[in-house]
Amino acid sequence: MRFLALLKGQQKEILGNGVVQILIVLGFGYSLVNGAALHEGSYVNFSFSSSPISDTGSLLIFASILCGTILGITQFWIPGFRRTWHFLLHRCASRTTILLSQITAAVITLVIFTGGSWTLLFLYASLPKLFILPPTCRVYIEGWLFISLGLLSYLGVALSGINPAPLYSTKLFGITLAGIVLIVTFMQLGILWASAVIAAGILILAIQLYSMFLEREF
Amino acid sequence: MPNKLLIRYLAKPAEILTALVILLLLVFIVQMIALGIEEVLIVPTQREQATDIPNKPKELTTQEKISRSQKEFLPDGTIHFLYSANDADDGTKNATEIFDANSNLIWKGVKFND
Repeated sequence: MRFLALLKGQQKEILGNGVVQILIVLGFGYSLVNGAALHEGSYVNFSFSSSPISDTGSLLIFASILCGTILGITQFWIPGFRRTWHFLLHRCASRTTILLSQITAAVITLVIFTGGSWTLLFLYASLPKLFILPPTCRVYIEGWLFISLGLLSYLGVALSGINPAPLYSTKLFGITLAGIVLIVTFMQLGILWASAVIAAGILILAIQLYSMFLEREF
Repeated sequence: MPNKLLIRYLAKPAEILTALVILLLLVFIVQMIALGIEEVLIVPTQREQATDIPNKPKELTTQEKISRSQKEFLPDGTIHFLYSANDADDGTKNATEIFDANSNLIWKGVKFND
């Protein structure tokens, strides 16, 4: 019950981020897809980069990374910015519950708001009237990979945020690792390898975040 | 708290892995910088040194020159040897030298009707 109450509170607090995500992905994405529909003809339509809605890929990357970074900063880097920190001070909920509620709220924002907007945009692009060759299922999966980069950046920023080390020391290791995984993902690896690299990065960052959150004095 | 212990055991290797990956990135960056410096500073110097050594044309013996020359028999019964230094890179490309039978240079210049 405490977890659900915390999650509800968290979700209310970060609802604005979700709305911004919808506005960015659907607002800009809609105009990008319509613009691409006017210039259709020079696309092979196999992967994201060669699909008629390739421009929305960079939009998704930007939106998800922006969302993850802002959530990471507001939830972990600035103590007191979100109300959940007070629960830590009063010890009325376990640290695991607090951390899980924060991470779950961020994941819900990314999955429902960003992912939902992406799904709607993809469905719109798949309408038979819009493109002669509609975007394939692979393009949709690649879009979700881009959204998972938001979770990666969120965990990287969160880990750096709660790391008590000085800025010139190991504090920025989380962000740096997230950045490395991001670069490796864009090295034309293919969907499976890119997914594996992102999953490994998320796992490594999440383990460190959980351990540091349990051990750190607040 | 077995969970806490487990996560601690998992977190240490994860931290080490993170540090290693970042270290590898730093090594990669330093390597790229070193290779860039080498390419900018050292390789051109070596190229300059290589280009400083002029390609000395091989000095041919008289017999070699005669065998590689075009023979022109004149109406007065004399023979002239037309030697074209087509492969020379010293500014005398396509220059033609005309020698008599005693290897005396009679004329040197560029033949335009080749």
